[in-house]
Amino acid sequence: METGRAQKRQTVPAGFREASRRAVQDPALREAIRRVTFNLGARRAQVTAELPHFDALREQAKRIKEHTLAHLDQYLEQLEAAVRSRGGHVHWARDAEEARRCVVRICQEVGARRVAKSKSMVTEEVELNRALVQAGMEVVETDLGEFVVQISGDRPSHLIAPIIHKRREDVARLFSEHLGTPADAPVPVLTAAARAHLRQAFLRADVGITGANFLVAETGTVVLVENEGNARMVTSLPRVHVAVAGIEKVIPRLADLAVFLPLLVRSATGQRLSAYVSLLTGPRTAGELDGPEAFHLVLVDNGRSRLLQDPDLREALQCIRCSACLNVCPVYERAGGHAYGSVYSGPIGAVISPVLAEGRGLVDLPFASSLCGACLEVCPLRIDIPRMLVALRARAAAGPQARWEARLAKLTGWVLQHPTLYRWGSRLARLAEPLLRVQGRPRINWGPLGAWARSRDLPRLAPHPFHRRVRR
Amino acid sequence: MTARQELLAALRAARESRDPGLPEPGPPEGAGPYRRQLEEDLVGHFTRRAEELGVQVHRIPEGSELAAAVARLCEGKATYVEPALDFLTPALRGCVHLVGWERLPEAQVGVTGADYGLAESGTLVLLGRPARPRSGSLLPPVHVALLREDRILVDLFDLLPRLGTCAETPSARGERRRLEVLPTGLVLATGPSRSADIEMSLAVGVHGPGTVHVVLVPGGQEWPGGLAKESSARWEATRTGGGR
Repeated sequence: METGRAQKRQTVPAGFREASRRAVQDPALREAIRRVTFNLGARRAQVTAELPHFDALREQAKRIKEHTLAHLDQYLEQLEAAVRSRGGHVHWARDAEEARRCVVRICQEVGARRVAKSKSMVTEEVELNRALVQAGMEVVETDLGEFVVQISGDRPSHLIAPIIHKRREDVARLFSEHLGTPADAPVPVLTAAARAHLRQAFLRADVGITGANFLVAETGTVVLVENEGNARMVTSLPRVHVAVAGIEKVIPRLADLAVFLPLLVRSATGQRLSAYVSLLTGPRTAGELDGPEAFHLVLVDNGRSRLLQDPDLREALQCIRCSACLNVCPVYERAGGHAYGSVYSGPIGAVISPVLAEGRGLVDLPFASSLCGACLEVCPLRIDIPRMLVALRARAAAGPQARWEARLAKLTGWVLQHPTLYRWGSRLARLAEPLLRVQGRPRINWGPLGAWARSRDLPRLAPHPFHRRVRR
Repeated sequence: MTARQELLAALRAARESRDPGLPEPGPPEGAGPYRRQLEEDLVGHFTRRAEELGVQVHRIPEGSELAAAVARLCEGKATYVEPALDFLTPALRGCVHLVGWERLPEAQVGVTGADYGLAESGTLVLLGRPARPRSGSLLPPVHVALLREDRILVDLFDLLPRLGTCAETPSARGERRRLEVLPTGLVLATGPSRSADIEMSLAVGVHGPGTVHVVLVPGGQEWPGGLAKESSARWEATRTGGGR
């Protein structure tokens, strides 16, 4: 029903409609996405079932997030004080522009020429790389998937599996151009080539840039969850570490990680714990042989405080970016991440992207859903994504068209309340019926009702209406 | 107004009076049986779950030498031994090609201690400090970790309350509850470095080590160098002089 209404209004963005139509017609892409999402989803189901108290963990996490978001200003101030007390620096950025300027300034102040990055969605969101390159810096993405994205000038299409839209052959071709591997190299050879190439980037980088999965207010700790080890490299070898994080990443206590880490990792990749979790607290201390000499934390708002002030949508800030909702979403599975046209794709992306990237024409993303509710079911924080999608649709629909719909509904109600009128109406419909139908489908499939009519059958009316049969 | 002031003001305006309150830290209700089952056989669970990920777990036979067990794993390979395990180097020198800190990027094996293990996930907990640099377990393609069996905990609920921002005297709850200093770099390492970015096919050793050996050291055994009794919390008092 909901999609029907959406199509009637023609409000699905041309971007999403066009892009998703193309994606749906690409069998290789659909196969690739299905394999990844199915795999991740199955593993998630397996390792979450292993914990009899998984739902209790979800409840606990939800309460911690609700509490933290209710006092976000206080926890951020506590975090700031804790980072400072360990010798780190804290910067605040209202929007993407400020975040970019801030990171570029830090890099320039320490005379950086080479920057190594580990995977971070928020730096994608604020488009940091472009600014760094414009400032004359050499930037290397060191996560294997993000490295492929970077050398192919592409965009990530999944929160944690950025190149699920690429086949092995695509990567092999890219690597043979950039790293000189054979054009038909198998995956282990490709991986080894990336390892050798990126190892130099780690050892030569002046600044390491990361995101953050969690920020611990109590201790000023940045928590990074990963499998490859590149985040460890980036935070151990360069002399400066800059962590860029959305303000919603803060959690109150170190002990809360015992709740959040299993939820995140089990929901994301179906592992019990990811290969590496780094808890980083300030720059290196006297006598330490490695670790950064300076540590900077950049706290980014970029629309998050707008979400927080919105009673309908603030729940979206509880998201820990595990991507479980992408992996079960029937729309994501068919359309892929690129069709959303935003950094954050899938169900949660359809909620937060229109707000975070205000004014970029993504207001219609909430219609890219069948509202089946699978996302709510798997979300480790039980974020009610369908409810928020409906709220966003209601906002988008509050226009002149909605007034017409209301009038039409009123008229229908009035007719239904007057039996004589209704009887005459249905007789008239029975007479006109053959003219309205072509091969069981509506004849009129153009005009304002066109999109709605094209996706619908028009079955034959029963020869005798129900109420007449009952009366007999 | 600065960005900071403006942002905090906006967040203050969005403060919510409905607040469920912060729940007590610790495992949720219903976790008891699952955690007790792990606790009954910490070494066994740690071993199985690490092995599932491809980690090779070795137990030192009663009465045999720790150094000999380590030497077997790095024989003929350029090996870096972290300062905390300096006491092993005299015994290793004869049969292993040892490299110093400056040549760590060329080392084929990195030998380090692990401060704790987590049975639930087969995880090694490494607390960075001058004698335990972060890169020792990261740069070489092979990581050999020495772990005391009595340092294996159930899970993160067991580990995290031990970590504080400053060292404290043992609490009333006794030795096992002693607070550790939260180091600048703490790593939870679970299995080898891995990636499934290319067509979901698993590749190990992408950036970190692709081969991980864990040498389990019986808890009662006295390590030379006094490590057995030394809580890693106390490293500040017993610094081995990091900048060697």
